[in-house]
Amino acid sequence: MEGETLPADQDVPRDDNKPRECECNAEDGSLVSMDWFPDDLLEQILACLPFADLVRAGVVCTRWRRIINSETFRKKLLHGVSHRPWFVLHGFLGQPACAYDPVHNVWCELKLPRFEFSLYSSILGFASSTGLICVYGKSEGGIGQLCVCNPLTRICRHIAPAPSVESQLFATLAISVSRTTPSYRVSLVTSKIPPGIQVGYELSIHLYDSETRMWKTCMTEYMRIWRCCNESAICDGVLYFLIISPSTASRENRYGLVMYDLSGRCSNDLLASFVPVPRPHGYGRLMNMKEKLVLVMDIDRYNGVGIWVLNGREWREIARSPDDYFPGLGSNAWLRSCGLNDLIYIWSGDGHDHPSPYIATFDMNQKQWSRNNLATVPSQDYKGFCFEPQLDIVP
Amino acid sequence: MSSPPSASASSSPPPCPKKMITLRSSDGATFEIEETAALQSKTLENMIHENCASTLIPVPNITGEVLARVVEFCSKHAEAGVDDESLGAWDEEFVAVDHTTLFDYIRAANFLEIPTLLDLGCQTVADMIKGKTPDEIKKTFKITTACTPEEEEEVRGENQWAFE
Repeated sequence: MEGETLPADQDVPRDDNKPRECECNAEDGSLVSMDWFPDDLLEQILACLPFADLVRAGVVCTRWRRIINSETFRKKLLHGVSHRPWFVLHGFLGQPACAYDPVHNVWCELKLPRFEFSLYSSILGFASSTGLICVYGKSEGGIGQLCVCNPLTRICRHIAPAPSVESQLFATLAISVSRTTPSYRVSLVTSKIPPGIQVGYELSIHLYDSETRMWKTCMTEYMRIWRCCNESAICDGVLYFLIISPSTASRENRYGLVMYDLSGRCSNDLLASFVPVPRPHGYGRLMNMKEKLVLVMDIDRYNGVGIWVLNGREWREIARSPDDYFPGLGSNAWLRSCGLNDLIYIWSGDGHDHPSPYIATFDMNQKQWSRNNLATVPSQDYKGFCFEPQLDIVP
Repeated sequence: MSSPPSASASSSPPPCPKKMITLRSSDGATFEIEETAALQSKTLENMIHENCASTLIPVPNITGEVLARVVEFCSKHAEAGVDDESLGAWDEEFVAVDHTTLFDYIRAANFLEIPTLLDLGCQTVADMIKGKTPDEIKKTFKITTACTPEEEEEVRGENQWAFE
């Protein structure tokens, strides 16, 4: 690099922020190089970049890397991200996942780590929270496996579930990542038919703590008519999950919500905590939105989608979808939803092969609905989950 | 003997005199700007309030060429009755310049504290960076320093997803 003397009329002020001047003549003779651009302005420019571009910018040169890695820059950046989490679609069949970044309105490809589950049907549970996702399934040898990973760094931890957890049962998984300590908890609620018993299920709640790296079976209870299904969430130290009382008449299954205090402080009689869902025969989706439990459920098969938040032991309806968003869900319809922090994503389909052409979002803060024609959800087999990208979290 | 003009003699009231500020660039060129437009710049706003008597403000950090364009920007953005869409189109044309000029705008906007111009400039550069590989970025912006191989390996290793 040759230094050149400055032309007289370009009176560039010097300040301590700038590294030594480096004028490199471009082919057209103009003096243009970003090397001399001051740090604070460079920071402003980099702050406008989407997440993926920011990571690439980190290898451009030492100076850019230093700016991007600085504490102040990261805080400024992730402040915007945490309110509007990414939405990821994944089929777990070897294809890459695609992730939607709502802040910059872009889709990017995300290669999740290859889980050891060869068949989609062997995935029994899935959960995601700040920065981490958790998958529970059956490996090829039929052994239950739990995997917690950070999808961005692809650092994975495999955890063997508690020995008493078998493969043929109903299970639901939830994960809660602490915001204060680098730890997380994974809950696994299972229902199985106890041997020798004709009627009823044995429900168990297992909890894994990343600090102790141990499983604990918090409780086991026999229930004559109820069993767990696929929805659970941990909010503010309380595990909430839906239970179902399957009925012989089709579609007349009854659903309800129960809760379990994970700190074990209160006496936990599950059925005493029972709260019916707003539509007793409807199946909803549970999610943790800033430590409040939110339920997304179709209002009735023909009328759209509603969002409720749990206040104590009662549901409070906070929103209904606009009329044209989910028209006539129909008898084969399915509804999926996920949410984190301020944003809820909802998508649906009419039967197995007819997904809707868009994904609807609801912003809890601004009470605003919107639709994104950005991707077609291939089918209900695709897992969609919300995810707050965090580079620092390690499973 | 002329009589003083009376209000009833003229058909429309005389236009309000707009207060003009004069800016002097580093190379001695002067530019006039309406006070309302100058208030887009926080730096100028402070200077105007401090030097209420004088209307000549030296801007030693910015050349005449750049200052002329900055004055144009502020005047346009202070105009009444311009809809968002046409202003957006005007902005787009404003920043369709070579890199040196763009960086000059950003530095000028930073010194004069003009948030609209600063955001526009930074976003424009960010848009040039989006989607490029690190090598392409280095080439576009003539960046000659580089990460050490160890640093590069560290970032790529942790974040392969961004490089595929």
